[in-house]
Amino acid sequence: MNNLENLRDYIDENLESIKITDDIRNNIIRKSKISTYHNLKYIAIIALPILLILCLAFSDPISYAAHKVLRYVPGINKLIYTDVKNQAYGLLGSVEMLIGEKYIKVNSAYTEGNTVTLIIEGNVPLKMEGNKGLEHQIIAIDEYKNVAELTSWDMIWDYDDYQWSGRITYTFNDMVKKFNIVYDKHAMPIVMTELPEVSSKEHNYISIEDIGVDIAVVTNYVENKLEVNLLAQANDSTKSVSFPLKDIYLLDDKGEKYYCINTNSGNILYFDRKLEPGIKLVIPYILIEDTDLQAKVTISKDNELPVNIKIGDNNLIINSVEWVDYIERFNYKTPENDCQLIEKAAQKVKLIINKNLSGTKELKLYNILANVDEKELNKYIVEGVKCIFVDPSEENNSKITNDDYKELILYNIKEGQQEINVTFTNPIFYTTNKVIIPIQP
Amino acid sequence: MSKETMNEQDFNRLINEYGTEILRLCYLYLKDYQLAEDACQDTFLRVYKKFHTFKGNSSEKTWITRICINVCKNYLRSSWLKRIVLNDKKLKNKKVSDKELFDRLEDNDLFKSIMKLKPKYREIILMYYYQQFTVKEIAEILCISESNAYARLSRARKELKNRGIGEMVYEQS
Repeated sequence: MNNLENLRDYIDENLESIKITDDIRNNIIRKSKISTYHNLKYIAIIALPILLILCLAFSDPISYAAHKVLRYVPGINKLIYTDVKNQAYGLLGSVEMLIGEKYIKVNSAYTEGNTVTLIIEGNVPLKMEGNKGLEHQIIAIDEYKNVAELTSWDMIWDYDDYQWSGRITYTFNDMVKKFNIVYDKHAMPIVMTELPEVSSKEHNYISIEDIGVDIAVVTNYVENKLEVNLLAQANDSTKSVSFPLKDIYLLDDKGEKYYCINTNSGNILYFDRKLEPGIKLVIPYILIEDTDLQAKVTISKDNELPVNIKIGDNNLIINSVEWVDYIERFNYKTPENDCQLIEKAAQKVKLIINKNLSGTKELKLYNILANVDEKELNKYIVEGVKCIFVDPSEENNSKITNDDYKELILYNIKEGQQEINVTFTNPIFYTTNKVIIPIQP
Repeated sequence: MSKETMNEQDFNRLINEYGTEILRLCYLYLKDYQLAEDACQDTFLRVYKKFHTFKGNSSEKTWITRICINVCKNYLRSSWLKRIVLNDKKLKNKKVSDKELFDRLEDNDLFKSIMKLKPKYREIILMYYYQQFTVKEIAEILCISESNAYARLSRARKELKNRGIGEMVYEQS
């Protein structure tokens, strides 16, 4: 080479042996994949001392998480002693046993010492009457054939389309990593592994203890669509739980939301989505109606505001009461199809109720029925029969809004009435927090 | 290719397209195969991590070369890294030593003179004639003005000429 123009060819010829090999390429790719992990190390440098202090300062609620994180730090196990018996084991995926056309599926299993808590669902028959309790029907047996004691259980049944789901806790003689669930003559092995990370222990089942409601999620694939059946149970038989089906969505671990493409008349939703690890069902709020609660209140034109209404353990607050005179017009048709119009002077009372309850932050008022004492309402003679006109538009069709107030109008009150006795019944409350349920694929 | 994220396929393409040239450039800078391989890997890891900052104002090659040069300069400043690499067992397995390879390269007077130039002149000669960047691209890579890059290239050529080697080749814009 005697010319700079040939430099490229000269170097390339002489350095022919120096080139990107598969080894180098694979090394770069591999390192790029773990670079995120390295970035996390810097966060860990800051977070670990804080976690360590928290771990030492507080007890059980965070120590599980803190131990799981800290044990990856070399030497830390020598500083924080972890009892092997307190090591948490769990299921990485669901385990299903088919019995003819019926099934039992364990969605989660996790250990706490020598107890194991299962989230389990199925549609095999379970008879809860008589002396054959659940402990004789779903039995847990360790590898040495010892039968575990059934310590506690919560079950939700859907009797219309026979289905159950629940949480069962068994106590074994010692800590177990594997055991069998036996139903009738069928055994299903459950093999747990050490939980790889701080992960959701329970899948497909959640207890909202503040409001005494359990919710179970039963999944299935129907014609390539994911079917999600919501089962709910309140700890009080006077309460009924319902869901805003169209607002419920699946949330994957990338933060993408997937709304249902169809619902049925029950609590079943269909999604155009496959289940995968990390997916969760998000219920923006749930509705709880209490058919047993009622409160009687006298509302007069001289009332001092606000008016407090004690309903169950909570207080409803009426912030404003407005009395308005108006002419009630009542149309009806005779059997001969003649239209008749009745007009009568009346009063209506507009109540502005605060949706926030003074006794709780978990619930807000969604709707409530208000009935005025019959004697205080106008009566009409229709076809010779005394009747009370009920405005069909009175039926409230509430929606959750950011508004903190709900307006309720009581119509057709007698002219000149100075006070009314109102009975508030069937309050419907909604939860202020989202309900998030991890789902096991 | 997305300017925000880089998938494995895109990353593979960059390695295939520029990997060998970057590795050889590292080798010419560092004169040590193990260091060059490490520097090349570091260069592409930085490319992967910093890809979201690549605005597309310059070419991919310009951008990657700038990263590569910064990595190599950092390596040259780090004597600690040299000692670590010298103990690497891979070095012992290499069939041709760096000295043999460089002796072979420097068998040519012109190349030998280039390698003996001051680093900033050697750098610009390699960029212009080996990597075949334009003066404008070199200015971007070295973060200097275009006129400054041109002057530096001219001085480098003059330096070579003073040593009685090479021809004056002027920038064709």
